[in-house]
Amino acid sequence: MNSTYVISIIAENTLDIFQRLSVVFSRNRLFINQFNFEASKQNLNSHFYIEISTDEIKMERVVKQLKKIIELSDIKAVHKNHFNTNNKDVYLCQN
Amino acid sequence: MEKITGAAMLLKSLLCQKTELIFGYPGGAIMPIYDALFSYNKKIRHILTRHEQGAIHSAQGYSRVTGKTGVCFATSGPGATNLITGICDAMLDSTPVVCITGQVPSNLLGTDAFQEANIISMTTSITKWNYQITKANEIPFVIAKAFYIAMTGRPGPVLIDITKDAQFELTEYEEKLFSFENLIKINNSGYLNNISLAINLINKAKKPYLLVGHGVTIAKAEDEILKFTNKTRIPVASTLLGLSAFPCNHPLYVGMLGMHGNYGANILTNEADLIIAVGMRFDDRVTGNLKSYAKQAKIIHIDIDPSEINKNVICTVPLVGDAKEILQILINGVEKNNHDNWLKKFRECDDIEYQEVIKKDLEKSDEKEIKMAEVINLLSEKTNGKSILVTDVGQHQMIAARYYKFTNNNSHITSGGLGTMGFALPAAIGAKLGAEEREVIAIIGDGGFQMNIQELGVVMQENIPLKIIVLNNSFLGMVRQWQELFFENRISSTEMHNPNFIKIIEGYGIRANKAENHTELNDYLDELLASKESYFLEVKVIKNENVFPMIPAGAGVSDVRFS
Repeated sequence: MNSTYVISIIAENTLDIFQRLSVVFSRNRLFINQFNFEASKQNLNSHFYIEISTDEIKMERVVKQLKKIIELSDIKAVHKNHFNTNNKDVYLCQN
Repeated sequence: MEKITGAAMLLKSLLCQKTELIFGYPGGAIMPIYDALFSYNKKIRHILTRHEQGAIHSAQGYSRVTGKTGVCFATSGPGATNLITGICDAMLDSTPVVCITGQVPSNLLGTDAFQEANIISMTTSITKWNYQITKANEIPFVIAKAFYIAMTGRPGPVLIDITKDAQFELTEYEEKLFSFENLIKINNSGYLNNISLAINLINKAKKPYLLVGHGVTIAKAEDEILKFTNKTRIPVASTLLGLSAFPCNHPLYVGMLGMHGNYGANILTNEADLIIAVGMRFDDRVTGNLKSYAKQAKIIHIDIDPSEINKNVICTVPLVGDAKEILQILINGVEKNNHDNWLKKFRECDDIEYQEVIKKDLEKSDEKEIKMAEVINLLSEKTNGKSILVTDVGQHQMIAARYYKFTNNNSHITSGGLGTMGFALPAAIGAKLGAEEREVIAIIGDGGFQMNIQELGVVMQENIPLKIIVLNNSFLGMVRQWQELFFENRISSTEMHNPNFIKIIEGYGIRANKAENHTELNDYLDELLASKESYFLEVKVIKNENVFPMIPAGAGVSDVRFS
């Protein structure tokens, strides 16, 4: 059953980080509902919030594939209903 | 401090990584590196391939036999794009390769300059990592990082693109050691929580089944697999890439898994109560239809790559980590056991397979015609299964996998995941250069041979004592087989009118012979094996032979066809 998830990613702010992330979604044929990005003040890291609709198995697979990106330092995925935009406190739902 | 060019810095950085051999092809955007190489030719050997695809497959073959990182060079644009098939192949078969490509000067990037190709974008999804260097001072760190990433965890390819101005740029160089400890997060202790669960399952299982994959060879865990099976007496099957990780003459070995694997090895998957999968990824060629794959079994999955866990098959106990370390712990924990009745079932299946397929495959007809299995079986007997076999893709690949009885570890090199025709000849060149003391034999079909035939120039120029056997059925045999079985025998564009291979080979100064009957085959194989130099043997085999058993695409592992 499809649900909407928010994937929160912290990654090194490199030239091609957008592409590295996007190929994982495209090869799994996942449309991105929402994509938000902010760079840290020092501009060393980027923080991405990516909203997708899919089933849990595919979401888990995508998260594991994203974890293989060398520039990625942290990733958390959460059901959209549990996502708190105020404190951006997301739960790690898959290891 | 002395200033050196970025190109010289690259070579110094490669030496820091203990690089001894590079396969490559020069061109405009990588000329400064080739110029610097001229001064380093006593420390680093460069093999001039005849095509960039040849360079990367050779680097793969070298890497597969040595366990070291293969290195290849190519220029920008077409040079770099010609690497792409090999990069993807290395990614799917977990082969550590570092590709260095030249790039147009940084001020021309994005302008459609001559031989400019955005190779970073093109290779993002088929590399573990890639990076474009535009400043010479980045080179030492980036090269060290590239080698670390290529080799660490699940190995794979890395591409480093260096702009021409960075290659020319003069910069101070100081040899440094870099640390990348936290770059790739490997959970080395994550499996410890599950070990006792796994041991308990193994000790209680009545019909346990061990599946050995390529990860066993990569982790150099062959001895541990032997110790584990000798203690538990669990039957062992191998994936295509796992072949030679376990001796084929071992009493517990039950054969190869997969579409053309052994009958018992496939169908008894659906009878096992416990599957222990080591360094394999439950590829669709192994599992067939997942809906009917091993539903009755509990599954212990040992793999270093967490993304493989639960990807295709949901496992009961994941053990994420280095196969060698995990097996060492398991060996100490499991009880001595035996599963003779269970093993007997495999042997009963072997008898069926022998009657239905093997007997026919090996039977010499009265006629002169040679069957592919006869060639491989004879070669296996004459070499005692001790040679390194490098195979291409197609019918001959499956026949070689089925009939060569590997008795030495790390002796089977093939393109498993991507299925790249044209792989074998250059990969065999790399393998021979990496294992000069061993007999390396390339087994190739007539289709795949013509995909990278130009690499014979390397065999000639470098005087490489490589043995090449082409099984010529004048067809793209596997596609023809599918056309016959699944497309109402509509033989569409698979018949090949081949050139005179012997004349071509002789043009390269390589000794060549053609076997057209059983006696010639026997005699020429003896000549080939006795030769201290390169030797080419073309074997004219039956045109319309099919490879069986076969699990049709989309069918389950129990749906084995014998005809």
